Amino acid sequence: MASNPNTYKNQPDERGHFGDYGGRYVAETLMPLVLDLEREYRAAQADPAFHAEFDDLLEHYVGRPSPLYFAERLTEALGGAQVWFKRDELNHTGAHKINNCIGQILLAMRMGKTRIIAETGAGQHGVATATVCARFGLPCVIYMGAEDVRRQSPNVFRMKLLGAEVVPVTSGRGTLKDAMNEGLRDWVANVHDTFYIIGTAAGPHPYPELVRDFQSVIGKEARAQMQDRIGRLPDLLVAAIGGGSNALGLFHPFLDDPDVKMLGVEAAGHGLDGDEHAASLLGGFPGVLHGNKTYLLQDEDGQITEGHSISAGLDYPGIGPEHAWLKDTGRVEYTAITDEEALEAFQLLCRTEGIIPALEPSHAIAAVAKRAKEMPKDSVILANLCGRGDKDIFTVAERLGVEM
Amino acid sequence: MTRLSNAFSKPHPALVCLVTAGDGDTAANLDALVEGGADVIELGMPFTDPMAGSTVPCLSEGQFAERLGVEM
Ligand SMILES: Cc1ncc(COP(=O)(O)O)c(C=O)c1O
Repeated sequence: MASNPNTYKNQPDERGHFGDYGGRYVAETLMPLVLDLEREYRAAQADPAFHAEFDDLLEHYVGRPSPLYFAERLTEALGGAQVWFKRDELNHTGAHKINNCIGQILLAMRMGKTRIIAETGAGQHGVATATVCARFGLPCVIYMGAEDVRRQSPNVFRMKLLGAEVVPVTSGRGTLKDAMNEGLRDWVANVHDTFYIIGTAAGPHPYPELVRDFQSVIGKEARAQMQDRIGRLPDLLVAAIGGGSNALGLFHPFLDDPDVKMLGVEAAGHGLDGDEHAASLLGGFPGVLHGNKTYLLQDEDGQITEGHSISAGLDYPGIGPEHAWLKDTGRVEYTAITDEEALEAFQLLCRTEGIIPALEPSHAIAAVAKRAKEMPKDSVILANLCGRGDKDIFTVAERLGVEM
Repeated sequence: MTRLSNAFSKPHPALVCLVTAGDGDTAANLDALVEGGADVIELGMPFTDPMAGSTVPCLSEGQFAERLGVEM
């Protein structure tokens, strides 16, 4: 791997660093666990039976490959580049999160673990984790900030239907990062039987790497589908970023294609000039949280501040370490979209394509709308439609002043 | 480093205490530990997102971390 210095695909190094970022900043009590996980992941990577089982579940349980779709009416409405979507919102459970959960639960079972824990914000990762736990008959505890439990009650009920125990977390501000703290604490206390399924490409090494690898199915499929449909690769890839897993899943297989540009879209909330946003790359600076070094929303003492976004899946105050590195190297460009812009894009996609997107990819769609207008008509944009919007209709109704 | 090595070279095992800065009256807490026979005191800076720094995570830690700054 190290033999090719001109590749963007050889990260992380053997100690989990993406350039300066990533690593394993964990208490000594957690160190044996993450080392164990890495050992087992290397064994799984080398085992064709593991890949065969992963692929089989993705095909027959998740419903992959997801379609590649040319958004003809949206393209017309924007009047510029052709807009294509990778339809990961059509996956079982309605988002990309399940790709990663399938991979991690297979690892958990290889390791002989009998209890699964996870954190969740909007509840999509919690639902995906509860789903795979039901599928494999493992008990499941989901940590969710008390504030998010209140905001996302349909997903809380879904998780319970699937047999999961949902634990509201009241420490800190009672949102996603606090749920992740609680997950890590549970893990320390229950080392012997518990596997922690982290929901995005963050956390201590090897999580950022393995989550990226499991999500890379998105980009691998898209690459082949694009070749098949138009005989070339897209000019620009666009994806929304919370912790960064769906974006890395799409981008990673294209990183060494120099003609393919990439745009990651953070949540600008009420705007980047104030504190009410969740743009760790554009509005934060490097620090350490949840076992890795990366860009964070923090004060000058390194105390973590709370993000805001209309989308509960984007308001994490950090970002996966590989994105921090991709930003510094300049390989990927990053931008941010406000709540208002995302709401408009949400409605635009509903009306032009008959697709109700989640609020997370609505941020990507808003960025696509801006870029497409500036690009020639024969150019091609591919955006990741990483989740469907059913979970968000209450939030959107409230913001549009509609009583339900 | 000599003060630390000295603390560990006493005839008895060293008593090492961890106390979180800002949790109550820190100066009084430190005095009380010294009086009580502490050989080494670890002064913990509260963090908004404590994970496993101590075996019993202090649930209020994240809350008062927001009000405490570092000056050096
Ligand atoms: C549909 C959807 N998209 C995106 C995200 C953000 O996560 P990530 O950046 O890891 O893809 C979430 C998280 O809950 C989500 O539910």
